[in-house]
Amino acid sequence: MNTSLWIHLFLFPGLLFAVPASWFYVWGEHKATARIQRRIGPPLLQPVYDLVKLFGKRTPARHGIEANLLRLWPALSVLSMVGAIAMLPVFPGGPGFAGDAVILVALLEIPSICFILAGFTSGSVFAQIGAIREAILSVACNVVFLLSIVTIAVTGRTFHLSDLANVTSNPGHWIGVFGILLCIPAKLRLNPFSTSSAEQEIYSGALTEYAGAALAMWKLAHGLEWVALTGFVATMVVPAGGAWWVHAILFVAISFAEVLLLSAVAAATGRLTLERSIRFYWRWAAILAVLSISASVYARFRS
Amino acid sequence: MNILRLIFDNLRRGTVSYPMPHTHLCTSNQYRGLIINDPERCVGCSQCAYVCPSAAIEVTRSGDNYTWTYNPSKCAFCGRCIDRCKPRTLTMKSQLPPLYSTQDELKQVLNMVRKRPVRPAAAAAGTAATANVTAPIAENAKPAEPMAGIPRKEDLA
Amino acid sequence: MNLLQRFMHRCRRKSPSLFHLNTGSCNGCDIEMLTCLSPRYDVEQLGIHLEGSPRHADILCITGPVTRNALEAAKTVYSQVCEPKAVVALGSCAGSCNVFAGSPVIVGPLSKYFSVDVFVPGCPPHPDAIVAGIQRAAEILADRGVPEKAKGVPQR
Repeated sequence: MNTSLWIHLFLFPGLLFAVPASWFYVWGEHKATARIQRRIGPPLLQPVYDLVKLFGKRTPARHGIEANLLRLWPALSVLSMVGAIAMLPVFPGGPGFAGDAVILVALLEIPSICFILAGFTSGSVFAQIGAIREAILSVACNVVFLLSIVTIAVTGRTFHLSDLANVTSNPGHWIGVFGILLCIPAKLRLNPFSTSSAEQEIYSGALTEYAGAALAMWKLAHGLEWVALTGFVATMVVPAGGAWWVHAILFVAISFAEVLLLSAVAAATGRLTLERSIRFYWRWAAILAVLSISASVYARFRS
Repeated sequence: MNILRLIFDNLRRGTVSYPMPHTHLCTSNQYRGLIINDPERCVGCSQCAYVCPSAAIEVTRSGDNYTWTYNPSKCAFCGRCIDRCKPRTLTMKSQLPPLYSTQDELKQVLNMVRKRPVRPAAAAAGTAATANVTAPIAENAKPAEPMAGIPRKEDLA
Repeated sequence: MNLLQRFMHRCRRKSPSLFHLNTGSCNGCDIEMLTCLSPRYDVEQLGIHLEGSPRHADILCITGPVTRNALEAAKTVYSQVCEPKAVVALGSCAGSCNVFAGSPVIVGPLSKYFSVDVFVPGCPPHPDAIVAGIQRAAEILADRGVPEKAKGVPQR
């Protein structure tokens, strides 16, 4: 294993950058929402306080396979998100392999699956409702997500992330990026697609039975999802060329700009019901399907 | 596009929140806070206890000594006692009632002696009424005798 | 207290998460509690936020005189809040049943069944009083989480 891989995994954009960045992005979301609502909002270190406090809670004793499963799902989410962030093509010419876009998509999908499974493992009615909503919504949302990835890959003619990051002159690329941006609110459970973790409506959704350190892991996984998804779009948007530190700064800046944009959309909209959310995504799936098929046909016959 | 204008205006106009923790708690001088009883002026009529809807005020008496008890944990801060109090003894603080940690921590107990009403001109008024019927009635004079011919209740019983 | 305990104390004090429980209140106290989250008072600047599940919360804010039907639910919710926890009795109904004392469906003020840490008087309490009560409960909670021998002050 070369040092480049270790740097990517643990330093930037790996663990050492991703965890503080997740705190910063979550704070940014709360602060932006607050300012849009003419409130003051939480202090900068609030996500840190929330996380550390949860580690100090004495959780109820659970026994058997259920206890271990309940602890497995958040741990799996955190690990897959760290892996996904490490795979992001921030620097030109980083460690990667042909077809690693597929692995990235798979890793980005794992927290959603873990959320659903956690809801069903919890054994509480509210958790099951949250899990069912997340399952139905993620099916609809993933169709759009995968079609966007396919559009980007087909118009860029490769599944290698580093090459995809350098493509900028393709309209198909931008259609795909727009499609990914559309999916992010559903994946992050933000308004208007926050029906699966509807605050207070179904108590806490799939995470109702979680407490203490496992809940802290879920919050960490959620923050890392922010970093991974906004970072993915940022790497697709950052133009090629320039020094490595320009890439790094642009990566962080564009990710944070996306955080502010998504917070503004979340503050401005209300929660859509499940039926409306999936209807929205299936409409966009239809449009993107048409666009990606025509783009791939065009690319096939042009070459 | 209204929402865009709204967001932009909100960001431009800034926050409306009180920065917490704020040092002076903003209550107007008509805020209904804790009841204060002035032991000098209280006459022990116990009308406040009579009208209190939650029995926060209790008055017990034995002879001329009476005890006025007020339990703010039961108080609904409605102000009926203030409205009813004839000697205008009871007043309300205009600050927030304080937090407490044990059940009866804020109970106030006042032990008072009932004050007899003072009638400084009573002796002079008694002699003036019988001597000179055209004199103006003194302020604390005894009530006049009932008219002749109408039986009094005591005669009938 | 060593550094880690002091840090944990600070985190617990700065991030009180509430769970709000209504045991038969007229909703006046609940509305005033909601006002605390509104832009005018904005308790999010102190880190206070409402949680959806009792297992996620530290501080249980209970309003209302405890009605017969709500008692079992209140006991269940109380057992679901994870240690260290604090209980705040909001309003004078929670403190002493207020005007409803003696009613056949009211089984008595909260202090009969739970150990209440802070009582916030008022009918309804002013949002400033509610915030002060929650902050005091967060202090009590943070002190409760520190092991006895680590505290420097002698116990009363």
